[in-house]
Parts: sequence; structure tokens; C-alpha cells
Amino acid sequence: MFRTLFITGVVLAAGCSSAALAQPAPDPAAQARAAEDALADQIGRGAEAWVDTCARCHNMRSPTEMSPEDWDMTVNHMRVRANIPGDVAEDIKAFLMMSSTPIEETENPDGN
Amino acid sequence: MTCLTTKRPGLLAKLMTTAAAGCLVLAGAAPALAQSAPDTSFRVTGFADASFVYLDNGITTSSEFTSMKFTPIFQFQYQDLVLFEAELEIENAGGETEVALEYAQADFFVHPNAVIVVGRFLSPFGQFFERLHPSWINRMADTPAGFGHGGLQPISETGIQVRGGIDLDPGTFTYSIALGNGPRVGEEGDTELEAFDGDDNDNKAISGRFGLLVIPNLELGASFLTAKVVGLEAEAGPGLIEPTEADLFQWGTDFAYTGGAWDIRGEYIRSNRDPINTAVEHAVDVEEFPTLESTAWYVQLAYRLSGTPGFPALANVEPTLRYGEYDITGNHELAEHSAENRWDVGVNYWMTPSLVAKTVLQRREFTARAPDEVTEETRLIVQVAYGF
Repeated sequence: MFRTLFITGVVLAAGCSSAALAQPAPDPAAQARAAEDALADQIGRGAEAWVDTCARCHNMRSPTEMSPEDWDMTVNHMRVRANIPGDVAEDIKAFLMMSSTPIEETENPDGN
Repeated sequence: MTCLTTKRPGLLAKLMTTAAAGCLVLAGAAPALAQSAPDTSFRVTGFADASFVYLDNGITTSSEFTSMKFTPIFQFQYQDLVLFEAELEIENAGGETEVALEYAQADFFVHPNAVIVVGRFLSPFGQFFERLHPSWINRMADTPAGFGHGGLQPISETGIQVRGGIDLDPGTFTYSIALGNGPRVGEEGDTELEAFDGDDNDNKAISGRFGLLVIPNLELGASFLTAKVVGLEAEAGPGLIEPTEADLFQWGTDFAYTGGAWDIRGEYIRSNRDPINTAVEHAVDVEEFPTLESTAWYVQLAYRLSGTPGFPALANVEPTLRYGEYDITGNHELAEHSAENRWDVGVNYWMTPSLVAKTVLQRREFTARAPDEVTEETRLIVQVAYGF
């Protein structure tokens, strides 16, 4: 029994260390760029979905009419009312929450 | 005043919004998204409207200002898991303040393609009441003939519902399936298609709608409702005839095109209730009613003049046109009261995307009334509506 556990442990440890050695250390700058690209893609999709979806029944309200928190709840409400697919609703939410916040605030959130 | 946003952006606007989204990220706005919403949120939203109505039915004329109808919607959310919401309708009628609950529901976001709704919710049947009933969204000053409270389109339901949308790429499929207490027979031998807290029989109503967005601007829908309804006892108590139960089946279809400056939509509903024995209001005994067949439909057009070159003053003006019919066979008194053909011609002025002044000229022809009764009516309705 002890022998079996010992061998299993050695094999697992070897596997983990070899896997760790095989992968280069993550580049934080590259990860940040990838995250920004993904966010830009999502916001772009959200902007297009916002145009396509909301105007189906009513006028589009300016993104600055509500706070990000209110848009979060409003889009969830509209996801139910208009049967918007969840991933599309998340894209719209990302666009509206981003657009409802003035750029100068986000550039310098501390006001310094 | 000027409108803050355009109503129906075209391809150029889409490209601009997409480009703007990219600019937001590049400008360093990304941290804003990191400020995710708090775990719990509460807000009050809703809409309000006030109207002036002038009426001429060929025999008498009248004019009146109506008091403001205030319709708050309360929303409470816990993360992206559940949203509780309730809509109240507060208005003054006959010198008394009336408060009605349109819906009070909990929405559970269980899957990207499925939301479970429980409580009292707006009926998923058709498109008008569920989506267009708020006065700041409705392009006209009232509902089409046969739609709205007391009409043929189911208004609300108490029960459970599963609904959602599925991205087909291209296109989107939407579905809503509800199981509820179902409608009841009214005191005029009609069917009351509103939510009831109790169930007067052991049958549950099933209703729903399936929609297909072929392209983003064109939606086609099909709806159904199947239920059993029970006849009412006479006020005087049991008589010679016993109330009976009857099957009710409704189906409908709808479309909406919202491309560019156009908003074109229409809806058709057909209802069939089998023969039933039921008592009407103040009757001493139960009566036998034949099959009740009803249809209601409308087509509506609105065109925003925002694209008219050389006339910026017209940018917020929106001419509207609607025609609809409501036909009833199998209950003469009900038909006499409600069957009609209705024309609406109007002009909207959008002060902001959610603040509108509407002027509507309405012509109603009551199609089942005797010649010595009021058979035609003209109404001028001026309404101000605001969504907040």
C-alpha cells in the first residue's frame, strides 16, 4: 500500500514539474493586452447588439442616463422581457456600463 | 428641445458605436467595467402619462382631462442570479385612487438561454401587452381594438414560466412557455384573460410564444393558449341548469419590422371557447351559451422624420397610423359592446427618447350595434407620456 502511494506521488510530482517546465512564465503585459482586446471585442459586440436589440420596441436612451449599477439591473430586466440571450445581454451590459461612465473619471479615478 | 439620441441608427451608426467602443477601451476606460455592480441593487423605474380626450359619438360630445396615471416599477436584484420586480398602476378614477398590480415576479437567471419566472407576470402571448403597453413605448395613445384590459389578448398570468433566447448566428430564436392558473369566465359570458391568485378548476393553463428574428430588424412570432374555463353560478344560487366547463384555445401571430426610421408591426389573435353554461351578472339562472369565437388584429405604422434632409425641425416628429378590428360571434351582448373597427391617425413629438407628446384622431365603428344605438365615435386624444 505504502509503496503504491509513494510511486503515485512520485509520478504526479514528476508530471507537475515537467508541465511547469514546459510552459514559459506568463508575461503580465501580454496578458493585460489580451484582456483589453477581449474587452474591446465584447464592448464592440455590445454596442452593435444594443443598437439591434433595444430599438426593436422603443427609442434608445442615452447610456449616460443611468449609472453602471442601474444599467446592470435594466439589462437584466430587458433580458427577461425581450428574451435576449444571456451572452448578448452581457455584451450589451459591458457596453452600457462602460459608456455610462465619463472617460475623465475612469482616467483619473482618484482625482489627483 | 432636441432629441438626445437617434431612434434607429443605420449601418453608419453601428460602425460608429463599434468604433467608439474601441476608443473607450483605448482611452483607458477599462477600469470602469472592473467596477462590477454591487451584490444587491434596488431601483424604481416606470412610466407616467396624462391625457386630454374629446369625444363625439353623433349624439353627444364630451371633453375631459384625465388625471395622471403613475406606474412605478420596483426592482431588487441579487447579483446576476435573481431579479425581483413589481409594477403598480396608480390612477384616479371616479374620485377615488385606484392601485392595481400589473405584475410581481421573480426572475431566476439559471442559464444563458433560460430564465425561470415565478409569480404574477405579464402573459407571454403576443407582443402588444408584454412589450408595448408602457405609454412611452406605445406609439399610439391607447391600445388597439381587442387588445388591452378586457380584450382578447391575455394580459397576465400567475404561475411559472421558462423563457429565453438562443443565438442562431445568423438570427435569434426566442421562446416563452408559461404554466398558470389560467383565465376565468366573466360576468358577461366573456373570458377574463388576467392573472388570478386562485384556480377555479384543477386544470392549469399553458401558454407561450415562439419568436424568430430572421434579421435583427424583423421579428416573427407565434403564440398559443390552451385552458379550461368554468361557468359561473347564478347569484340566486343553484337553479335548473348547472354550470359547465369548456375548452378555450387561442392562437396568434405577430410581426415587427423596425428598420431605419420605420416602426411597422401587426398582430392577429383568434380565440375559440366551446359551448358553456354560465350565469351572467344579475341573472336568476345559468344560461346556455354557444361556441364563442373572436378575432382581433391590427397593423400599425410609425415613421420618424429624423431622416428628412433640410428640415431639422422635423427630426423629432413621428406620424403614426393604425387600423384594427375586433369581431365576436356567439355572444350578442358582448359583441354589441365591444366589436368594432378602429382607425387611428396620429403625430408624435419626441422631446427626449422617453418623453413624448402624442396627438391621435381615432374613429371607431361599432359593428354589432343596432342602427338606433351609437354606432360610430370619434375621439381626439392628446397625451403626454414619460418613461423614467
